[in-house]
Amino acid sequence: MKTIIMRTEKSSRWGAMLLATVVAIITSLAVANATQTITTPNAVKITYNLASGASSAAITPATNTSVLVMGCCTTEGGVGHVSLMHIPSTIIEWVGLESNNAAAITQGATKAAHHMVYINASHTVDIQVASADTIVIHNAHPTVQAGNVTLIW
Amino acid sequence: MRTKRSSRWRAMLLATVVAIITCLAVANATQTITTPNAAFISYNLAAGKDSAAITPAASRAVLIIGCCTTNAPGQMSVAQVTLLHLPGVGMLWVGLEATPNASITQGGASTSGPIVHLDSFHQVVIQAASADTILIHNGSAGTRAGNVTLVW
Repeated sequence: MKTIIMRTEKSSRWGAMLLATVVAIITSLAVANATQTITTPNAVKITYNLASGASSAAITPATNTSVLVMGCCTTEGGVGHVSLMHIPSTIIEWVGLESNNAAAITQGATKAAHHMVYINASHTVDIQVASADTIVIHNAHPTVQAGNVTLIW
Repeated sequence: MRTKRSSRWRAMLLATVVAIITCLAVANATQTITTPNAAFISYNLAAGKDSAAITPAASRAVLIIGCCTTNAPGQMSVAQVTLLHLPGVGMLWVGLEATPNASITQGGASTSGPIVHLDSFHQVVIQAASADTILIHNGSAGTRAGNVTLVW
């Protein structure tokens, strides 16, 4: 009788320990899932001063992460922005807002040359996709235009 | 002898010119990765009150994200704009008004005027205060709190 009671006690103790272990593992997994790593963002500022019809050097955005691209024209005025995703050698996708004063949603995905977002008031200076991996700033205004573009990720 | 020397000098000159042009092209494509700047402004404004004036960085695009955290129906919300501050001239911006009635906000102001609303009822607003400053205004009937972050 005593042996049976002892065996039952031992068995329930092992059961409780097993249950506690399972609960601890599940809790740890849930906590790990919710962990956020706070990091310092990166930024690149590109200044441009482009003759009519000219393009900047190619800019390669960070890959496999969303990148905020905001640009302005300090000659004529105007500001626009997009968030962009660059999948290396594959595609550049974006969504954002064309510059004032004719703001509208701009969005797309391409690996070939394509307009992305205007950054001056008359919609003649824009950031364009240049290839699957690069973007450029292009000035289609009849005069020299200057400003800057900031990438943050 | 003279012809040989002359062509050698020419070749060296050509090589130097090519090297300089190559260096310039490479320098043009160089990107310097830095840490962006940010300013975090908390507000807690009584009805009809304005925050202190805020001077955004000049001659570059600045991302402004703002929210109203007052926990009551129709008050909490979030919005964003990119803004260009041309010193002594004014502000230009484009962005999205606060939810749930989001729409494009865009414009320019050299004195005062609304830029973007931060609460659901569109009563808390970031507005131009002068050619060089913006402020947060609480146009609601009660106290409203929240914060605004500028990143550039």
